[in-house]
Amino acid sequence: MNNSPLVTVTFEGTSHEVPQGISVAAALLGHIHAEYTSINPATGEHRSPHCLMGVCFDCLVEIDGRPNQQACLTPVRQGMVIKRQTTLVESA
Amino acid sequence: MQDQYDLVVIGAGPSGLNAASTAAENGLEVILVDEQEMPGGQIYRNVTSPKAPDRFLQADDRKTGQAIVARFFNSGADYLPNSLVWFAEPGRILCSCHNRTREIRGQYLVVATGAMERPVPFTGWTLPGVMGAGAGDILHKDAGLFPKGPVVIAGNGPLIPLAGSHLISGGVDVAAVIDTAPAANMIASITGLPGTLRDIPFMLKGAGMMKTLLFSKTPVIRNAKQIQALGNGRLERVKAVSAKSVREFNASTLLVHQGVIPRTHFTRMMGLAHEWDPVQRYWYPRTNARGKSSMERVYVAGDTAFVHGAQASACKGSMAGIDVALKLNMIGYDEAKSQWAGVEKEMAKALAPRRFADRWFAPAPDLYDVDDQVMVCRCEGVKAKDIREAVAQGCHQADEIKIRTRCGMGPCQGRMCGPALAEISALALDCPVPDMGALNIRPPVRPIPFAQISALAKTG
Repeated sequence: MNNSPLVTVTFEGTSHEVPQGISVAAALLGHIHAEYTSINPATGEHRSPHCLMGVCFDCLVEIDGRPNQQACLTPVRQGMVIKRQTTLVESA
Repeated sequence: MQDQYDLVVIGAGPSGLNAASTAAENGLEVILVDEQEMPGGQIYRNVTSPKAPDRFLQADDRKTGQAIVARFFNSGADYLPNSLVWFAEPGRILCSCHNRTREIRGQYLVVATGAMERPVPFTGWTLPGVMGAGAGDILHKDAGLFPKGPVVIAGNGPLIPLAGSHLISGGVDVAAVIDTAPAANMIASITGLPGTLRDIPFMLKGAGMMKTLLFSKTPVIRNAKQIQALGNGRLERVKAVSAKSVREFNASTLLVHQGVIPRTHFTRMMGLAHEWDPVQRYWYPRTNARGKSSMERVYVAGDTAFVHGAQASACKGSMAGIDVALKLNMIGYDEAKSQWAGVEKEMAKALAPRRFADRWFAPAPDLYDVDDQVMVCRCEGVKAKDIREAVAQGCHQADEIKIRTRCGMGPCQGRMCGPALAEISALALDCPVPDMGALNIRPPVRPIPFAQISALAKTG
């Protein structure tokens, strides 16, 4: 794990180096320690990745300006800009 | 990559991979479409990564997975990863690939969308820090990570001993294992014991996991009920009731597991006929021994057809691939029969311990007897009391309750609340669960931007 090539991503404006090839959800949970990754628009609760297999949609985040991305199905890429999804946003 | 194939396979787990390999080796033009970046599904997630030797805790599983993937890459089948299939009918599928919709035509279709953990609502299950036990396993296969300790593992199912032994072997602080299996399951599973003798390695694997758990002196709470996740904004404590005493543990992560059910959104969206399994309490698409569904030219393979585990799933994929090759006259009946014979032998071995496992891990009868305030629909924030009120007001079908309460109308499209919606309302009505019906699933079966649908109209 220590010798993984790293990529740099931004989460909520802060840069983080994370291993290449892992999912955004894994990076947020295990490397960035995001605490929560979205605010549920119906309940206002904090949420974070729950199932990690594309089923629960609790890991929805904004990636490179595009909302509603499933963090558990998206691999990290160099320069990726990740934000918490905090409102119900319509896709452009 | 072409747009017209003999066979389109959806899902790159063991069954989808084997269906594609078998069909392609028999001379068919095949494409396999998958939502992930790498093949393997969940059970063999990222199995071809150079990191896999560190991340798969069972070396045998890794080698099996790598062999299945290697065979697929040598089979000549096309592979379309990173693609969410959101519509299918006999003859074609529509998928979202790099934010564009693609239409792929195929004479035959194999649906191998796999399984998911049975979602069971309880107090606090939406708190950050509460995850599926399968999610814990995926975190390790995907990224070599363990969940943050102290960890509590709770529920009843095959992943409980697996998660427990993996975490303990990895040096993670496991605060407790809370087992909610009812004592009656042990008696019910006795009828399955003779079958287990036909698969000794399976039982040894299970026994090995139990040994790791027991030797670690991790507290194991048996016959537990009323799991609660507590905390302010994220998980801090886990509470459960056992033998009338309340147990409480500090925890950063709660891994919950209540067994595994088929992922049927896709097969229901297609309108395939389904059956209800009263032991494991789930819907599964009706198929014949070769995986053919109730719809012409549509097959269902792997755990989507019925949860039998990875080894049986691989066999079911091969069965379907052979049948499609026969239907398209690429092989004769005698050749098909001889190919099937090899697979059937392996399949019988894989199925032998299932009777035992399905009964041991059967969901508790009162699993869904949850408090009024428990949130059932995670997406829309619908509580058990809202469902019970809708039932009292005269909604007696799952779909009617959905329309009344919005339970099942969020981005997960009812994947996380559908089973609980039916169970809770069946309890309220005192009727069999299948009488509630299952939620009506319509395309797009994955949420996609409207622009991707309208762009299709312009080109097509």
